[in-house]
Amino acid sequence: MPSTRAVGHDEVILATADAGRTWRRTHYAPDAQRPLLDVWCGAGGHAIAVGAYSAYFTSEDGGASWTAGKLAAAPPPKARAARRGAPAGAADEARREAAITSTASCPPAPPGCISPAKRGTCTARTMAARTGVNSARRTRESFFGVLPLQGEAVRRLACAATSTAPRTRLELAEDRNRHGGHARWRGPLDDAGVAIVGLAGVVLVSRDGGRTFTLLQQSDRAGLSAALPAGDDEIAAVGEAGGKLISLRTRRRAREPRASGRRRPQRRCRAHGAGFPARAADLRASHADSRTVHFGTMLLAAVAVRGLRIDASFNKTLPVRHEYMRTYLDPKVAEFRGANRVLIALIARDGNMFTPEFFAALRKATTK
Amino acid sequence: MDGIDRTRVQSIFTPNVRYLEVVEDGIEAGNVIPADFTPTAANMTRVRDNIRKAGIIGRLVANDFSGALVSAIVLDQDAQGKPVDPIKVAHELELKVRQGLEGRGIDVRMIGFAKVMGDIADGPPRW
Repeated sequence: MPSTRAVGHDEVILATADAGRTWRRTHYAPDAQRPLLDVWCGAGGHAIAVGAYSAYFTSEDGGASWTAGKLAAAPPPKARAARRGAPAGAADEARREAAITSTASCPPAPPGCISPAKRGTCTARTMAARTGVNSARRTRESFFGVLPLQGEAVRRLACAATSTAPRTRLELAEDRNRHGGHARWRGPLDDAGVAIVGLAGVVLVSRDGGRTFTLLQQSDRAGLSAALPAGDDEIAAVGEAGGKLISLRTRRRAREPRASGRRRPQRRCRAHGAGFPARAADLRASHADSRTVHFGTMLLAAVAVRGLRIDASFNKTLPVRHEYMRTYLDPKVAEFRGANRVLIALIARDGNMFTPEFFAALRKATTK
Repeated sequence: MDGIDRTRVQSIFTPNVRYLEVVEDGIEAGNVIPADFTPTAANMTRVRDNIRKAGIIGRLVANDFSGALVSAIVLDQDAQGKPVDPIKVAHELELKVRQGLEGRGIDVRMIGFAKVMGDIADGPPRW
């Protein structure tokens, strides 16, 4: 069944069973104030949606109903709880840790965490082992994507987590230093091959289901936001510098035998900032259909990138909630506003402004 | 020009810049540049005196009388109630103020939030 899910802001999850002609809203929680950033649909109706602030939802019925990720949380390390002192603080800490643990441990097996490391290689490590140690002090990190690492994708789910959380940043620090950014978005090639595209033109390619990665940095170092498979060893990527085809062929590639018995390529596409009703779309359609859809999405994405413009406003630079600023913006005192000022200075080059020319120019500048 | 508060534009030409002086029979006040101003030598001397009396040296007029300012306030919304685009304001300043005034012995310098935004939006100058 060519069913498709799309997720977006306000935790909205949309579903379509007819290639996008009609959509059904299966989940919506505007009060949570967090966007979902990716959705993944596996075999047997299993689906996972992830998003900002550790949002994590699972579905067992093909996306008709969703449940928030729930797990038995590992107790917070005693030392840390004791150091916090105040009971309220400890409880808060425990709550945060519970939230993180629940998102980290995807059933039924421990997930892998893809962390780009030195020299562009990536290691898949179990996040479960790290949870108690590293993530305890994190608040709520965001998940940017779900990506299957191997054929039985759900069992080897990777949560590519990047965020403002300090520990996560540490994990990615080396890669960031070298490349000015870390891998952020991904597009799968097939079940054994995975490509992750990201900031600073980073393309990470794995031929073994995410255990090792090869770095193919684009020379223009322009950020990439989405990628789609475009044939053997090529992906089509869009980003800050528009769209282009990127060859994934590497020198090492020749020595590696192709993974045998690979399944039908799983194709998906992402509409990011392309005027789609949802922020991230995950399309699973028939082979021929998906190409058309992909092309359309790429086109939309290209248009969206070209249509970028600066939206500047003086008031956006103000701390509008500040007491003084509230007074400043009060309509009753609008008469006295004057911070957004333009000064035009006319200067006579010979140092004497008392000339008819200068006065004519000043009069013109005044009256415009 | 759209997006500018016309009533609060200030320069020595605007009637909201006035001088005040004590004379024998009371107080005399007036616009720094009188409405019937013509650029004659006598009028220039009068304006120079008015500038001194108005106390605007160092504010609207340069300390050494080498130049003068026009001060304008950019509105939040234009006459049609639409938000004012600072980039557009900056472009209009370039077109309507700088072009046509600069040269002939006069330099034009402009600063302000709107101008900065316009400069950023236009990118670096082509060398």
